[in-house]
Amino acid sequence: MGEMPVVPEPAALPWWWALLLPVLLGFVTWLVLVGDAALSGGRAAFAAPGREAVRLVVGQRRRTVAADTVLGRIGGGTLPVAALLAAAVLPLGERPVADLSVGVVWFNAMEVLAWAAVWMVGWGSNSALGLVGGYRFVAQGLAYELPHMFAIITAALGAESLRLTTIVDAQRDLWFVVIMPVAFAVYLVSAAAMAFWGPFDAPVARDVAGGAAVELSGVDRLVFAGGRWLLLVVAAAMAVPLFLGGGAGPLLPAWAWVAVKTAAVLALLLWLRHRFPTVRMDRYVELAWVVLIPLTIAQALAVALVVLGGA
Amino acid sequence: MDLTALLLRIAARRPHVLVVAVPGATGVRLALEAALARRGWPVATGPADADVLAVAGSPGPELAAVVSAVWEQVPAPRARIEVREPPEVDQRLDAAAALLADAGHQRTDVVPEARRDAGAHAGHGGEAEHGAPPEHAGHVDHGGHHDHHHGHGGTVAGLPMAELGPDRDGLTLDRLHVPLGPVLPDWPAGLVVRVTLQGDVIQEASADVLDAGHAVPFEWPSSAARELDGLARFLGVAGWPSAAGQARRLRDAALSGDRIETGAAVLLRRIRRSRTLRWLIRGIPAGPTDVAALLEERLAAIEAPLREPQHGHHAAERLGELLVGAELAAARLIVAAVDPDARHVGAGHG
Amino acid sequence: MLEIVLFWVLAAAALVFGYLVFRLDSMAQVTFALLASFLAVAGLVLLLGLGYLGVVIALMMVIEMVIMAVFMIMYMMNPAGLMPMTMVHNKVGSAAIAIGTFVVLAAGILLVDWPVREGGPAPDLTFALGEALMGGQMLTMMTLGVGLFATIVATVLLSTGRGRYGDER
Repeated sequence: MGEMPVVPEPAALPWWWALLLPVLLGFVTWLVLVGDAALSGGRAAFAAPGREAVRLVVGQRRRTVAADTVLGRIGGGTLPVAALLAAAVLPLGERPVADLSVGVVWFNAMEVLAWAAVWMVGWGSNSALGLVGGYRFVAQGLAYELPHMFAIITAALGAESLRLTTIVDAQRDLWFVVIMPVAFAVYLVSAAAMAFWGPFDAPVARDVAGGAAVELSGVDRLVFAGGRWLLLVVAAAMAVPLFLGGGAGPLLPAWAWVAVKTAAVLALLLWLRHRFPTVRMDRYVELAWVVLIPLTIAQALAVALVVLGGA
Repeated sequence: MDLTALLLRIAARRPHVLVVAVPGATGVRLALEAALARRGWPVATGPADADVLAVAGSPGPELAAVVSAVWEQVPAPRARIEVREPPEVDQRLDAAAALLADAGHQRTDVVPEARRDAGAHAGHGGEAEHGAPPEHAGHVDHGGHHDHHHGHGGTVAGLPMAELGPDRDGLTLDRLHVPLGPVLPDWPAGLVVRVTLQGDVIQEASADVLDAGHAVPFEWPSSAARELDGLARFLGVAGWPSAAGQARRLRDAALSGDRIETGAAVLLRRIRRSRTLRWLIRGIPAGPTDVAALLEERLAAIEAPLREPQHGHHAAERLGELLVGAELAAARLIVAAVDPDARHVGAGHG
Repeated sequence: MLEIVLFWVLAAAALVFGYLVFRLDSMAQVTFALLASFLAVAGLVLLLGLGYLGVVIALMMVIEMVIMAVFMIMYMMNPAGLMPMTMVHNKVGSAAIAIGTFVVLAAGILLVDWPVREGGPAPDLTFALGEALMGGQMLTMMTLGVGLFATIVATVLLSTGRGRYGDER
């Protein structure tokens, strides 16, 4: 203890990747949408996401009486922006767009912006059901965020670094999913929860007629829904450098392995939604605080002992 | 090349349809839902999400007022159809799609901003007369009137303010009056529950069916189909779309006279085995029984079609009472589990 | 050059949003104006090269402000955010305190004889920060931290009994 760790040279991609990143993520998101449409048995799955987007582009934007348009629109726009900023530290292959020394915390901070975004959208429309949706997401955030933080910090602990490229390097011999399975499982659950996806879609659920998004139409709905999908893709992709060894794998180049592993995580998340009914906040908070938090703390302790023993 | 016309045509290939079911016209609703499933057209969750407003059946005066209020909230491009008899369904849907793709028509049909009914969007109730205000409104364009010690009551932007009332902890919190229904996803036809909310907890509730005298009860050709229909709605409210879809497919198969024993057995096993579902609906009281028990009763009725569920009917008569003290998500589950029929909803005030 | 531009933009944003906190009349907008002001400050901390502190400020402030928005709107004078309101109480007194504080701080900046920097920054600032804050007391701090956290969680769970509404559901 006490000696200063060696700081690796930042290994970021050239700057123009920052422009390419939204295009790349948009493409992946579109593929996921097609996959989701195909899985849910929709016909013409290949065309469905495109038609849906066109429908929303030509759709009229509506305004409700006494709406807080300022907060509502800022909230809607924040969602995709937060997802893209979070993706900046994601190693696409071996290198990310921005190789921050505090990458894990950066990802966490950007992903948390969704709290504010969904609440603002729910508030903005001046609708009881919309506000219920917004509040539901804050309650859900309080439930998933603490176990989630312990899960990602456990990965950082295993590599003794908050830098994602270093975390990937530390998994050269052994993927973290092997030594920290609990943290990985909790991460997957919170990835679904932070994108209010699958069994955690109560903030936009049918029982409140679309919740936070209840009054959105046209481009507003497109931005909100698109931002949510982007967030899901980024959260799923982040599991790869944190727990699944990043681009490591035989034969294929690193970027291909990242793509394959991300697709696998996304498939798991799609299955999760198919498999489980919506988990309501009042039940999930209890599970998260009574079961998941102690489990993740115990996991972090175990990993800390392994790291100390190995050092 | 007219880009808007092209985009409208593409969008019209897969419109979202908001179905407003008229009590008693269940046959039309079933035909409509089946047609939408066949075409792969999504069912809209509310007016904002809808392109087509489809009224299943001939609405009475009260529901007709709701329909026109809801119609004002549907954003353009939009089309409105009324299906009176099951055989008309496909023709009407085709007409709606054609109207959506008609750029000339859509350009003239711009929704007037000012006419959007404020009260209606609180619960998509759109009740013209009883439209309750949303309390939690955002920023309003008002004059420079700065006074933080405002009295409650009064109106802002034409909407009445929430009033105060004691909550269960003795705190004085805002009370908001919201009508739930009749246009909500997976909601019984024509049902309106007027609730007083504190946060998302229901303090008072009274249930009502619009045009109660108007409806002619629907005779289900198969009681299994009726129970599967209720089950599909319950699973939809519980947020389990894949199981709900399975139940709807079985319902349609039962209606067309196919044998469904195997499929029903698979679905029932899936539901009964789901520990998550049990964990989620356990301990939500619904009168003398609870939501889990009501669900089990429905599942049993699907297995043995002769056993008509009894609890549900008793519960429907006092639906308002059952909802008091529940939070909104639990209340939706209670309504879906009871699945009140128009005949059984009493004036149960809580 | 870019850093100087960023500094002035962020500094101005922090002040403007801070000012808006007292000018806007919706509790929700006030809360998020405060959040925007804090985020600008987090950006300034990042400009200083303190990556960890800057990002943690952003993370904590977002969570804090969203939770605060919920509570403020629930409990404070403007429950629905619909009625006009103002954040300013005791205008004269608060203005005097604000101006006084500003004068003292600004005078401090101008009058203090700032030391000249000796040596360079540590290679890993996050690590150096942890060492400086905790030093030899790492074990004590960790034990305290976990103990405190466990107490918070346990207190909330015990005080709510079963679920949100006591025993009945």
